[in-house]
Amino acid sequence: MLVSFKIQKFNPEVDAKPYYRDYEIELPERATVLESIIAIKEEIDGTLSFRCSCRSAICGSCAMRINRCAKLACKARVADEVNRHGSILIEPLQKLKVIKDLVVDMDPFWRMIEKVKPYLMPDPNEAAPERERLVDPSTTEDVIRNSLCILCACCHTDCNVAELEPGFVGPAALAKGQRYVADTRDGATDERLKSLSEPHGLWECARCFACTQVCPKGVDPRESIRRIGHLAYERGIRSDEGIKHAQAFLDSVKASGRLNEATLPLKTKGLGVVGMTPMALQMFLKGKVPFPIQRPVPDMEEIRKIFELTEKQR
Amino acid sequence: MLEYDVVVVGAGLAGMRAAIEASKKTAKVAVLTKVHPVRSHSGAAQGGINAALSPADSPESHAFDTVKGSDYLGDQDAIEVLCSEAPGDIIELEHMGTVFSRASDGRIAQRPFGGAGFPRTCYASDITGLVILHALYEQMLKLGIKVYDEWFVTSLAVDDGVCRGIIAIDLKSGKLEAVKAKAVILATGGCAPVFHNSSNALISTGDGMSLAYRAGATLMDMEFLQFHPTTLKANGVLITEGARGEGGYLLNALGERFMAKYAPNKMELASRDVVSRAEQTEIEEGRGIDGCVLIDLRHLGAQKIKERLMQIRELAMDIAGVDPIEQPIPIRPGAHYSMGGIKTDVHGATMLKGLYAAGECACVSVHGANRLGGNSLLETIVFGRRAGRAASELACSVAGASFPEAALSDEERRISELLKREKGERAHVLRKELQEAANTNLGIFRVAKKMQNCVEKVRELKERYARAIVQDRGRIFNTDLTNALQTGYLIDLGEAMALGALAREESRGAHSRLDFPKRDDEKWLKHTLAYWTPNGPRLGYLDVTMTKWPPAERSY
Amino acid sequence: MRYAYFTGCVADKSASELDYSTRKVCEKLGIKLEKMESASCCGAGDIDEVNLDLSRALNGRTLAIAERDGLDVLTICNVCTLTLRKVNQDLKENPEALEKTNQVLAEIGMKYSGGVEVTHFLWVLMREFGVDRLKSYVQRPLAGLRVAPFYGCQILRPESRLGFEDPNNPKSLETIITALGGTPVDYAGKTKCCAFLISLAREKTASKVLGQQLWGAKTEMADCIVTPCPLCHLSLDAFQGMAEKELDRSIRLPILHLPQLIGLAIGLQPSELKLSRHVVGVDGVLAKIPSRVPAGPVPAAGS
Ligand SMILES: Cc1cc2nc3c(=O)[nH]c(=O)nc-3n(C[C@H](O)[C@H](O)[C@H](O)COP(=O)(O)OP(=O)(O)OC[C@H]3O[C@@H](n4cnc5c(N)ncnc54)[C@H](O)[C@@H]3O)c2cc1C
Ligand code: FES
Repeated sequence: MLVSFKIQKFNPEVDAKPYYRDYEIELPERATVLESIIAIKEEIDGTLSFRCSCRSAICGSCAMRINRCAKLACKARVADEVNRHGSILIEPLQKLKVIKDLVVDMDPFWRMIEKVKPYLMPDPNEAAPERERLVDPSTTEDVIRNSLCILCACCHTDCNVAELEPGFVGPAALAKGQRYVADTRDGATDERLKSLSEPHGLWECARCFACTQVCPKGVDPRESIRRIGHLAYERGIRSDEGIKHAQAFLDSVKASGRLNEATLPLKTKGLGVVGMTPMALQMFLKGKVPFPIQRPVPDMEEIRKIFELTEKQR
Repeated sequence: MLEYDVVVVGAGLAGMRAAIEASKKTAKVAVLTKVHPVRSHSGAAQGGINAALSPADSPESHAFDTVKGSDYLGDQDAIEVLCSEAPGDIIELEHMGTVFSRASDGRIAQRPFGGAGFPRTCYASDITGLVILHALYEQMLKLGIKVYDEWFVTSLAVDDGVCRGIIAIDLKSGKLEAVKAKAVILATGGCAPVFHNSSNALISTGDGMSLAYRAGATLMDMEFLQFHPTTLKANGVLITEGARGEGGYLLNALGERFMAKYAPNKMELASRDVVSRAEQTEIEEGRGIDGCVLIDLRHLGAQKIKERLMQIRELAMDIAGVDPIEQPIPIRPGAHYSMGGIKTDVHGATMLKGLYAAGECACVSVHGANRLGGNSLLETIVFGRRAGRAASELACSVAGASFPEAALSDEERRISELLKREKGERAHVLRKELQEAANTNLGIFRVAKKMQNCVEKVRELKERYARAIVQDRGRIFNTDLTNALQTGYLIDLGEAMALGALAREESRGAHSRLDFPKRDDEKWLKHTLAYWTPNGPRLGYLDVTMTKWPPAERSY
Repeated sequence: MRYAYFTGCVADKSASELDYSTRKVCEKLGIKLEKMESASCCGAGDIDEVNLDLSRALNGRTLAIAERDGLDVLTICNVCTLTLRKVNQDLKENPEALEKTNQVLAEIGMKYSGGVEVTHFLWVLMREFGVDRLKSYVQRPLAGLRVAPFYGCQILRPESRLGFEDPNNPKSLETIITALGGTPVDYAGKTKCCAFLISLAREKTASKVLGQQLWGAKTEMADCIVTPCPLCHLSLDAFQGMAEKELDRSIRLPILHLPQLIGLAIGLQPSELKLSRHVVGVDGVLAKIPSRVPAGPVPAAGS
């Protein structure tokens, strides 16, 4: 099949700014995007630059934006892209500085990964055993699934929050953090949970689910973030406003079966809520601030019972 | 000029393990790698890593299986080192944080692998390489070891018969840099892409082997190139031996488990050379399907496949469009692993002073004529560690010598000449012709005439390569340039392979000749050495080290 | 067409104009909504975060109520949609989770067997009701009105839980805007996040994220934004001021709930749509579309 590509190019040695170049090339039916750009490099434009290595979605080199979504070029199929979008547009990953064409500077991403101390920190008071540490097979399966992350940065660069808040540690690093939090051999769980709960940590996630959506390995970083949040809650690491928000939510549903929008800000932000008053005032004027005392939903008894029973189950 | 005690080239398992060990003796360790460490090809390893962990198993029996697997070409002293140190190294990896799949008692689980008398392959589902690669990288972070990533090494600096450091292109800036070192460890991985559609990454182009060879270290046993029995037709991507380890069947077009004819005892779990030959025979005798046979996993059930072979399933679906839960996967033998490499002793020392090598680029030799699955990851760890130790010991014992002044300017001249050259062929044309020639003439079954063709073809390519051009004339991240350099490395190695193969008039392990179908211990129980000369390799031979196991008939 | 109508907490209270306009529009289109009076809050991913079992039990109860009544659940909020669909999918696919949930439900005399689908008003319009049919109701085409669709995250992602359309290239809102006679505006923010969830806990970050999407629509000369989610609405409308402050730019972009936009086009009066409850006034929008409903045959409800 004859396929057209539009590819963003930029060579700092000659170009003032990035531009798009069109290519047309004959390809086999099942060609991947990587195979296509290799063919373009070999047959049309030797200057076209990109990273690639394994061609089997395991090394994480070939992440790029394909039709405005971060993907692995070696996994994306040309025919699928053409079917979904009618054409193929290839650009470098977002947010990271372009070194040349589709090659971006990954350093800011690596710094984020390093932030979560991605290595085992066994309990220092416990001497290393002579043999392996024993681990329950079921918890291992969990850690292995998280270990599937190939650090391609697709999720990080497509994350809607990280896009605008460069300090946000991001989904890949949080998933890496969770991999160690879930590892029963690690002895620094609380320390990790605390640092993962820092201002640019897990509670900055807005649940846009872009990470889970774009992950080419099915790692589901948002689920990893949820699990860290859950464990932080369980372990009483609850000082962040994000977790207070969750707690307030829980409390209000427990009290009335419903969310109490009126008390949520106060419970989340405490006195910090004062900073929000102009906005609250505007909302109040439009009748958008409901009365803080809320009538419980009918059959509230059932809901109360559910709370009781699930408490007991744990 | 940058200056270190130990410079490690390569950040796969062997390189990082070496660097971690070297950093115990000296803080002045740096790792140079042409891709970021976690992009290294070790991450693609799927099936597992061997060690006799169980009390019912023993390093001795692991060693015997390895010797037999090597078709008695492996050096037995080295094999004994490999197998006896394996359990300790695995436990160390575990302590570092590597996640391994577990048995119900919480211990590291082990699966059966080809040619092994005991289930001794440790694994993490089918992403074993990935989890070890990440664990080692993370240890490097923890230890603060300096990494120069996306530095492409183009040559070794040799002075007075001693390796003094390396020259590399910093890809991001495009600058050529010299790095002085008291000891250099090469850990640059394999070279199976001498063949078309190999199972290896595009970057596994034998750089270190070629650099060492050109610098005066010796290559050994290059004719022994393993064909893995289960690679996907479309592009050679691997289906792990673990698929057979977990109980997968190989079927021909008639639906027969044909291994019964070739290895009645071990069946699918015979040694790789045996299984690949069996498949090729089935295909050539007309019992294949579209150039393939089938691996059938359906009877393992969805749960086992999803849990233990998750990556395989994804690859089969993505690349072959087949869900192994529902359909058998068409597979064929494909070029996979280089048993040969830079000749080293059991401490990783090469024939060139100051130069060490470990991992797939080295030949200790523990794999001889055929490697057992799961032994290569093990080799990277055991001998990576040993090379790291030996190199750091050397570095601590010698005074810093001078770096050959001209090395950098000579290299700069060579590269700018290549960048400026006007008319000629682009390197990928040559690479494709090389791969084509290797596939046709140097495949699973070899004969003199075809190998002779191959030798001639490679010589022709060498000449044409001297006039090859690159289209990208820039300096920054010039992958057209690095591709061209890599093609040069592959041509070097192709030549050594073809010549070594042609000379070896017997069949042993992966080297299987139709015109010399028998193993010939009398004449050929010896390693092939290849020395670089301007006119192509000069071959020499070296006896195999034998300790406990005299050569015997090999059947599975 | 009859559904168990799950309003969600926000549409019930601060965004009551959404509930109101949804009911008005559905009445006119003949979509019957049986309000789930006794349903609890879905927990909005917060309860799911701190206590998964509780989330399954609460939402399992909601699903069981619908199942008892033999109805599928219709939502008007993205977050409710994802949360309910997630629980529903887990209960359907994971027998252990269903068993555990049913143990709790048994104590209040209920049981869920996985027989309910959770859908969103937008999807019902697209799939069950049909766009051509919707077109036939249009009395006041939104000609000349440039409408920027804002999908919101949790109606698109993750595809494995929602799966109605391609999250990178959704078309449903555009299709509806076009059917109503308006002109859909394309901009990068349409499939991005409104940051509602962190607007309390991470005000500054939220304002940056929100601001980018609003500004994107503004620069494409949108007259207004339409969204199928009350939380996105709250962000885009009520917190627009915060975004303006963060960007140091005036945006003043009116934000309509999906049923409000439809309501205008099918001839409902602004008062029936409670358009005055918005923080950013919608007069500019009203001024752009013909104020009087042209005379002509009006399809009967439910036809
Ligand atoms: C698909 C596949 C599956 C496998 N599965 C298994 C298995 O299950 N069990 C097993 O035992 N073995 C397996 N093997 C074999 C095993 O994975 C490899 O032999 C082993 O990982 C090689 O590791 P290494 O450290 O020597 O090299 P690599 O991991 O290949 O690393 C090479 C390093 O060298 C660097 N480098 C190369 N050239 C240069 C240069 N010019 N300048 C700078 N840096 C350079 C690269 O950047 C890289 O960091 C498998 C192999 C493949 C291909
Ligand atoms: S080339 Fe390795 S992930 Fe695509």
